[in-house]
Amino acid sequence: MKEHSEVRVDAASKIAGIEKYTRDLRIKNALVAGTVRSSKAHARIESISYDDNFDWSKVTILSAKEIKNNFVAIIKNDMPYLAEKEVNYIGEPILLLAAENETILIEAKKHIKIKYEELAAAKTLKAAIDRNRAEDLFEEILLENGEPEKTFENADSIVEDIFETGFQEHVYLEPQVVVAIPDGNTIHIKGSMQCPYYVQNAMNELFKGSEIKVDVTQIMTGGAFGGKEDFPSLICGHVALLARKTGRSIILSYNREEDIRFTTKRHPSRIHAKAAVSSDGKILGLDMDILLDSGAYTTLSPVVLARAVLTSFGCYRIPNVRIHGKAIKTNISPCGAFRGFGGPQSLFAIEMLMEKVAKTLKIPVWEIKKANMLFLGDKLPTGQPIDYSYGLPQCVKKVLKSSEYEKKYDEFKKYNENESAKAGILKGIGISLAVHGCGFTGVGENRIKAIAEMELLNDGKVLVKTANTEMGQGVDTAYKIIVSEKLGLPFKDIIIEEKNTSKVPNSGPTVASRSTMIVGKLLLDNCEQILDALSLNDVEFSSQDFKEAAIEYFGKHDSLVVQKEYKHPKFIKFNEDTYKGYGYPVYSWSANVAEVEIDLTSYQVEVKKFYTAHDVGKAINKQQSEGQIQGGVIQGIGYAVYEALSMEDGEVQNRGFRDYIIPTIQDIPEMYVDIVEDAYFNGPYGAKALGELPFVGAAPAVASAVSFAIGKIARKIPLTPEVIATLIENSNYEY
Amino acid sequence: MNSMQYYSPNTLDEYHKIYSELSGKDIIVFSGGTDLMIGRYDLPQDAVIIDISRIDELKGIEIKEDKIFIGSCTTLNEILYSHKIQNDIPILIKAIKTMASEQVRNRATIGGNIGNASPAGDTITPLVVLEVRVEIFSPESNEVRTIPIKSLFCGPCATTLKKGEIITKIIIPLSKDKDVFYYFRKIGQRNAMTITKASLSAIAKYSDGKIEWIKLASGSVSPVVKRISKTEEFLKGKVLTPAVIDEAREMIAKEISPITDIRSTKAFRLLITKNLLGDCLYYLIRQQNI
Ligand SMILES: Cc1cc2nc3c(=O)[nH]c(=O)nc-3n(C[C@H](O)[C@H](O)[C@H](O)COP(=O)(O)OP(=O)(O)OC[C@H]3O[C@@H](n4cnc5c(N)ncnc54)[C@H](O)[C@@H]3O)c2cc1C
Repeated sequence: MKEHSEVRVDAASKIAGIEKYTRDLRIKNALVAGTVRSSKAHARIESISYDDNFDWSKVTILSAKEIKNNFVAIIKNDMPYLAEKEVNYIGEPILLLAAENETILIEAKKHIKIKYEELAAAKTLKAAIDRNRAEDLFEEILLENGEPEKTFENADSIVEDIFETGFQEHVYLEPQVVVAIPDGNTIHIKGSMQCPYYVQNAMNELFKGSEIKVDVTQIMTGGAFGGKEDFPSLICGHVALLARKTGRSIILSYNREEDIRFTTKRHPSRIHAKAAVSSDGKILGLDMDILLDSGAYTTLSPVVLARAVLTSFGCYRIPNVRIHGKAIKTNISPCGAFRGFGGPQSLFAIEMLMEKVAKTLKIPVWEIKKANMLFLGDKLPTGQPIDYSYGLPQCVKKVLKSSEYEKKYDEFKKYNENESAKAGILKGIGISLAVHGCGFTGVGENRIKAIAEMELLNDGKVLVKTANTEMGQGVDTAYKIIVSEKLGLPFKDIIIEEKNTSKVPNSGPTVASRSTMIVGKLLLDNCEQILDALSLNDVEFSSQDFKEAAIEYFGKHDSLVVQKEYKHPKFIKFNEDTYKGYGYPVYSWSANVAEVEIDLTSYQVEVKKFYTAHDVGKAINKQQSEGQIQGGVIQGIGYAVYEALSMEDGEVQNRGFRDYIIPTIQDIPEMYVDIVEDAYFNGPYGAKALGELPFVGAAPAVASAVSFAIGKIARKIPLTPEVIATLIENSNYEY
Repeated sequence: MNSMQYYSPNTLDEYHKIYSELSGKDIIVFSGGTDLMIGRYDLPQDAVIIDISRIDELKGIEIKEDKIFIGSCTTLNEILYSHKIQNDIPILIKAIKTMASEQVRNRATIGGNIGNASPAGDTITPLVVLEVRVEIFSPESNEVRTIPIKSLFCGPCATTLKKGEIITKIIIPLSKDKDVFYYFRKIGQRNAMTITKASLSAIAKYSDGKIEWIKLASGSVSPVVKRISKTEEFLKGKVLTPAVIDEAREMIAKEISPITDIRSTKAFRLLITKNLLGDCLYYLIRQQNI
């Protein structure tokens, strides 16, 4: 395939401001919806009363009693659409309201009184751990390999620490918004979402046993990052229920404050990691206890935990492991999917454990990482051999060269010894190795049975039908490139079908960095089927030949619709009890170097330069790949140093952009991006996962650089100035 | 249901007239709106808003004799790009450069920053050490008066302005002293679009190796921005040795009363205020040695 650096097909309409997002839809005669929420972290609802000083004829009220199948269908189905008897977190929806306008809703809420009987709550992970109740365990995973116990008994030394990562908010530009439009017995749902079929499935369960049918359409989505993976199912249920009750269209749109306070976040983690180390720095054994703070309901926590466990050994060859993961319930707003999906937490832990090993053995950290890095052909602790598409060594070579890491390592050491006091800054350089398992964990892909469809139109154009959504990541453009390359058609002859569940098959959710690798491959197969039907396979042909062949085809046939269902190659097997086998069909790799400066007056960490090399198999769209990498790195820098979600007494304190701090254009480093293409045999043109990888390697590189600068292990992120001051001044400025 | 009312006078006279006709109703003065719009969800449904940003008399920068007059509705960017201010009041330029973003500074006004009276308002500490006066128009008496800026503030986001009164001008005295040293630094959570956790403004005169005088004001570390007078007094006439600087650092910590909020903690604000003073004084020494 030739190199593509296409301008995104959605770029012009977005820049011109004419792209239609959900809030731009003009929906006739619609009511607006609002949510009445719990003010308690854990309580029994004693009573709900509506006072007489309000004209209740102006609002429709919907409560849990009216919902027959009151659970949001995902994994454990434990989260209700509305709480009936018991609330489990502050902000949990209790009632839905619908009225002609927002003002009425605001007023109505003031006249509703909910009485609670408070129950014991675990508002922090620590409280939940201390409480130690079996029913708080959403998921537990144990992965063992080799002889971990014996290894630790006989080790030259044991290095251990506890590593912690914080919440993170997705900060998509477009807050959550969905609408429901009733139409006889059908309800059309439209909105900002990643996974129309997740919503479809949830709606099917919600209305099971009734005459209601639902279809779901994704409208152009202004960012998601996982925040619109599981969450929209909840609010789509809300609008659908209200639409059914009122017979009117319903709009539910969160403002930024509601969004930041009550939607899902990245799982905070507390990871106790232990390495058994030989005197020359070989990691012989790894023991990790991974705890994820999951919030009040299960949502996707079991799969997030699975990825955390399967990422815990990073890019290293560690023969003996015992990895023990738990996803634990707490009485806070549920955590959910977020770019990286458990990977960032455990990768932070393993990379910082390497820092600690280096410090303990007084060996430069890069020596330790290099000595333990996987070789082609090595086996992971799951038994999976890494014997194809392993581009990490090339990434390392590139990033060491572009960053001049080894030279600067010595220079910065000298600078900190001699000049830093005078200049008032400390310098640091850090390195991380990162891995992201491509697509769903284990056999998830075989369960989803993704189907992509393509239709040849009688004018020789093709219609591409997938459920994979454009949310700013460039999937529509990637699909056009994949198809255009194979069929020789210009972009204008490749039409992407609306992501509407009544029009496209279920090609699976737009998550897990799978859309290009898995569904893109299905589209390639679709193209081959079309070429077969046109007798163009294995011959050279022009776009004119294609047109003519199409016309000829329609002379004899009425239509040409082709489908392909995804299956893993046969040897890709995974045992969900032992966690042995192929955790992922293939992995993407990155090597990252961060340069930081820490100001000794303000204790601010500024990332000055960031170098990275990513092995993505094949960059389908070069400039878009670089854009994803830069964006993911910035989000990772936010995670490492800026983004502090303040949770007090079970309640998010942040209200918006003014107090949830993400990096601005003034805070981002100079970036140097290299792309390595070590092809994956089963991806389109060799492509594998890209979307999440840029995020996962950033925070460990920055934390490594900070550890270098201050001479102490940064064992906790975010590294806000308060945390840095605490580390540097040996006193507590955090509390 | 009551709805909001919005007025947009073109002159102070019109402002006076509109105000009089409202017969005592509470009004909200709206200038650039960059503070007010953040709290828009909390405004009462029947608020009366008077937008003063089209009053020409309240805009522009003028030098008269030994004073600079800045109209209260002058935007931060107009000040930032003014040669007069760049030449004569560099400390204000330094402060404004750290504020918000290009877009916000095109709307935000200096009168709004002062009128908002936040201890984190970034033009306030420089204006306090510059000992500016503010001119105030009262629609009740239809008169103007001037007061020293320090008597404008009476609590976090509270001013001594009476009903309907608006700030019309900021009057900055031009210093006769040449070679006056100035320092402004703000610490926030990032490099732009950030609210001050702590800041320090200083102007000083240094001669014969000693501090002749120094004026200090800290932002975000007390309910209102005020001068750090004990530390100023202590530094007066001193040679800046490391011991003196250490002592001054401890003194300033006693003169401020920071709190813990979502942006930072009390302990951290104390620490960085001390650091800021150290940074300022070492910077002063370096400036003198060049
Ligand atoms: C994204 C963003 C970033 C920001 N960054 C900073 C920053 O870095 N530093 C900083 O200090 N501020 C910052 N601000 C706050 C704000 O921009 C400034 O305080 C600005 O100077 C306010 O001016 P305004 O004209 O917009 O005020 P308005 O919002 O119009 O008014 C603010 C208050 O002052 C009153 N008021 C306005 N004019 C007068 C007057 N002439 N007389 C009496 N009262 C008056 C109003 O009634 C109101 O109470 C930021 C705001 C935003 C939205």
